[in-house]
Amino acid sequence: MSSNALRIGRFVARRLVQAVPILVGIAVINFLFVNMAPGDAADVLAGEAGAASPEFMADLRERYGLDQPMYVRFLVYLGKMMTFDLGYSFRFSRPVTELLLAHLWPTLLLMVTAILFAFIMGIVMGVIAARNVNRWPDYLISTGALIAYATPVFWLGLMMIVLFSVNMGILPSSGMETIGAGYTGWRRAADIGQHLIMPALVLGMYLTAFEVRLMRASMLEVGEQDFVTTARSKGLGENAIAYRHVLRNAMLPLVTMLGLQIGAMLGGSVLVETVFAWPGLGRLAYTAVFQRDINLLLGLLFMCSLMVIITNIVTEVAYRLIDPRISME
Amino acid sequence: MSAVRNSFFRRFSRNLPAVAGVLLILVITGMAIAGPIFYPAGPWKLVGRPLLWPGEDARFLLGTDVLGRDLMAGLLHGARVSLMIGISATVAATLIGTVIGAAAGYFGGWVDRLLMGLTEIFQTTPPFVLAVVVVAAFKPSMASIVTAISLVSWPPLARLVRAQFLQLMPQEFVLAGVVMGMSNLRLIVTQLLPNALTPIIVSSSLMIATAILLEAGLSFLGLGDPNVMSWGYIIGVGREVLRTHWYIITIPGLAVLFSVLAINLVGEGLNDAFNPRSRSR
Amino acid sequence: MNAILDIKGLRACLRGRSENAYVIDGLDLTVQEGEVVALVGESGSGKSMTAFSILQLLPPAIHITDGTILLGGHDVMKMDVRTLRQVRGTQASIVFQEPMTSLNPLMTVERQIAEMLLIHGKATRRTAPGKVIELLELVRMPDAKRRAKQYPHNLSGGLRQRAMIALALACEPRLLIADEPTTALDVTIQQQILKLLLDLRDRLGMAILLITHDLGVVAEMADRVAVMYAGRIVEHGPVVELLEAPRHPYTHGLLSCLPAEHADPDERLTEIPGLPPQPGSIRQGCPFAPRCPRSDAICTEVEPAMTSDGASHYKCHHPWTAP
Repeated sequence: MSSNALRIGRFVARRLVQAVPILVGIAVINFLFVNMAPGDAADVLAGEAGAASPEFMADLRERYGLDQPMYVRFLVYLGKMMTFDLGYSFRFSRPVTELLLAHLWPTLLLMVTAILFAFIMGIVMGVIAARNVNRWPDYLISTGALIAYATPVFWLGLMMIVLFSVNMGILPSSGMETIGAGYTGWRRAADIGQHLIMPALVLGMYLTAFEVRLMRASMLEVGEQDFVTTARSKGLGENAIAYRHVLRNAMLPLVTMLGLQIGAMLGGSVLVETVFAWPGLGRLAYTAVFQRDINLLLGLLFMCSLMVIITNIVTEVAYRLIDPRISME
Repeated sequence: MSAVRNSFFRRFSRNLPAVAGVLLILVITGMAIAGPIFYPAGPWKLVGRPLLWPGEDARFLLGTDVLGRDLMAGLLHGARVSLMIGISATVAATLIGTVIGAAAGYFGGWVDRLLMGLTEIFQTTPPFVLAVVVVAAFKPSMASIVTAISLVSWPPLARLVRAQFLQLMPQEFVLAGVVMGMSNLRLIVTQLLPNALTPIIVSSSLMIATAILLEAGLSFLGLGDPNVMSWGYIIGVGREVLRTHWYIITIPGLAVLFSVLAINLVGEGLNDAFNPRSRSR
Repeated sequence: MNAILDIKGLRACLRGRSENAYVIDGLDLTVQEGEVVALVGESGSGKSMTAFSILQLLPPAIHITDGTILLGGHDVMKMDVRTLRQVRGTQASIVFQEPMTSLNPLMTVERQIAEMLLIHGKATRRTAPGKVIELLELVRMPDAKRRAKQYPHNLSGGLRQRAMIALALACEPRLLIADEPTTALDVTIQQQILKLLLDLRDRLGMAILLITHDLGVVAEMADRVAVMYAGRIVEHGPVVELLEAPRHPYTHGLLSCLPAEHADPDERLTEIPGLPPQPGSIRQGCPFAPRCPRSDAICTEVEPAMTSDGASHYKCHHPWTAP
């Protein structure tokens, strides 16, 4: 067993090393895009301060190193990035890394809940649809998935607020916990859970629809393979065939696709966190964009890419643990 | 060839959801055309009392928004924006993706490694987040929105085209072209691309739907072109009065939903009609 | 002798097609206890569908319309789901053509065989691993203990087919249906697997229904041969008589396709001209008539009945004469 853990460790290490050039590439591209913006942070700060004398601007630029040529700024940025020093946010007056870490946990909580919801619902509904193919449960689920797949997340969030917060008054419409309630322990967890329901459901809806469709197609495809006929020829019942033989094989594509979907989900979290005032990275990104907080934006993009890379590695390990045909080497 | 085309149309027209999708797209296109005809003054004009509910005033079938603008005018003009951005961003993304995928697949070696590295970089950055940053950097306008959406949408297409090329390259008709001394460009354009066209068409058609969703998200956040009235913008503004006047966001939201649904239905219909075997019953 | 398998008047047709699209069309076939019967024919003649129908494993697109399939004296088509499941694996079991895809890739060999033992109550969770090793040793799986813990992808094609045979034999069925068991394997491996099957028959005394298109295999393995064409049996008889003196022109044609033992390797094999008919395309007469060198007017009008002549049985108006 420990040799297995060792193999996984080596695999993860190798993947992390392979990710370094990708990360550098991401840093280059992010830096280019963000610096293509006309005007810089000094303009924004000066505009807010209301005193835009050239001396003051020059002073600001020098203080934040904005007067250096772009490539110098990039090299400095890259060098610092390697030590996870992502610079200083002018607007929040705090180091970017600190800001990111402070906003990471709400987003992780939201995303993990949404992914779990999407996975469980996707598998359950996909299996029901596949086992009743071309009968009403299948039509119902497939149509539902098709509609959910086309629904804009931010609009779904707003409509749910109208229904569950405004009309029915059963779920809170914004924030992560009741402010000023001073709950602790389980009471606090329950309070956060209540705030979590709607954003997680909304954020997970798109992924759920995707997983349902994928699971249905995958179940049907695996169901036609030879080893399923073998299982039937052994005298297994249809339930045992579906759950013991088809399901596990059918789940493999779901694991693979999760890595690709995580990026879409991070994008969705910008919208969902804005709608529900969820204090995570998404809302931080929204703020950073409108305040032209370049360092913070770069840090956010970097952080998001890092999350995608880590998810990809996790899914690759999971895939290799489920499917013995693919080795860790 | 015409027999192939006939059976394609027969299969497509037998697919009821796909036909419904085509009808829905026709309706939305009709709305986009009707906008300037019925509301030549544009959707920004303040025409009545603000916050009129649908039907409250017979002149405004869908009511008015916070400032007293006609929501019907907004809905029709919004169809125009959604379709234009969806289609132009898709065309741009298809061009980028095809060129990069074709080059990577055709030349292989370091070109392939370089281009696929680039593709992976773009696929690792969350598309919507990158689009937000790009639009914010260039200042919101139709051009920057189209650029941003196409910039984040091309990677899957590049991978698809590359995979198609890798599959086609060893085939006899391509080898025949090589033996005949065709130039690289000629070989790509006349031999390889036409044979890779079907999957490109299918995924491009589905890409329009994603582009419309991306645009709606951007303008909801206030990153839309300030000169055009889009569905996302109406929802973003209507959000302020969500608690009391939910009708404002409902209609443009449904418009986005139905547009995306229609395009997905057509895209899948195309896929099923092109590959009758792939259909899972 | 008792018949372990007795099929009478079996007809099966493609669902959703015209009523006449029969893939099996009036098939009669018996297999006696302990006997090796070869079912021979070109691909598309309905051999595999016949094999699948015995354990009711036909794909959903094909359904049986007429006939009886008596397996150990009981009609499988009248069985409820529960009984049918009990019969599968214990009365008869199948070895499929493609060892690469007929085992579950995510389960160890041991689990797949043990599953069979457990559902039929032939072992408990405790005794199953030992029985699995015994079975693997029975099919001469080298290094059985280690192989049992491996996944199908760790095994070569020949070893997978051995695992598949071990699985099929786990519950000591009275009939083993082998659907082209060696087609997907290398020639040397083919010989080993065929020898193993014969050896197992001698040791365990089960009957074998061997489905193949390879007459060389038939000569080596079978006691009796049934030749299938267009979903029906056109000739059957003891292996020696049938191979040495075929009566039906189709059998004759198949045999002249075989290369002579010391033939010039450059010499082209004779082939039966034309293609087997599509299901549903033959409306009347002998299905082989369009390709038959001996056919005349009556052949296209009247379907010949099964005629018995000594040990040979054939459906033909103009059979080759016995020597």
